Amino acid sequence: MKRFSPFASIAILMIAAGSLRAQSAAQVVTFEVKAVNEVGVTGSPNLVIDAAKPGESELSVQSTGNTWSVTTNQSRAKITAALDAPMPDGVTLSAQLAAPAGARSAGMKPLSTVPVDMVTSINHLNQGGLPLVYQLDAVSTLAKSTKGTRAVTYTVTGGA
Amino acid sequence: MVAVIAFPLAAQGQLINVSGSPPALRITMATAGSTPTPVTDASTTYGVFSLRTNQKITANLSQAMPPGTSLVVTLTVLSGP
Repeated sequence: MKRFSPFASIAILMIAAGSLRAQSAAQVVTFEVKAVNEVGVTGSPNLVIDAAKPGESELSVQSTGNTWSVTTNQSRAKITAALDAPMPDGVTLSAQLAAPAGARSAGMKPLSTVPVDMVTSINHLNQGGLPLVYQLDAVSTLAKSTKGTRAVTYTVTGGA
Repeated sequence: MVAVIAFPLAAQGQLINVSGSPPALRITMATAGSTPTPVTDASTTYGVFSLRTNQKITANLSQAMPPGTSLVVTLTVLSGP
């Protein structure tokens, strides 16, 4: 079998190198950003009415220190809130979500099983640590030991 | 949307290839309060041949990405002979 000398091998490599041109490769990358709408809350509010001012017919207490967060890549998104069950007669649970930049808060709104708008006009943002305040109100004629738990469901829906 | 990434080699005597195009990259979720969660794909490979030393691989897109988005690529360093 005929074998190439070392000099011939080097020459072949040099010829091969010279014959190759600068070269490139290409990949097609397909990408898409879908509608993204996420809302989150922190805190475990515990609202207890245990005191009243003399003469007042309404008893009230607030829970602060809770926060909420939102991410949306849509415009005119909004946050709604709803309870999983009605509140007892004479008791009202309300919530207030601070508005992120450029959005509008509805202020302190009574909650029920029907979704209520809490924040509107949310446009293309991600913001966290926004104040969330709950308020429990009860009429003073309510029997004591009225207690329970409610799940508050916040929903973010995108406009466009 | 589609972007074409080109990987040209700068000098003669070199070859580069890629294994194919990756599946579509779709951003669909986020953690509330944070930017949308990036997506990655690691299904493709590349190969390179060069008779020269101290060469480099560059990459560029066929057109600019839409505002607010970025496409990033990482090429694992190859070990030489």
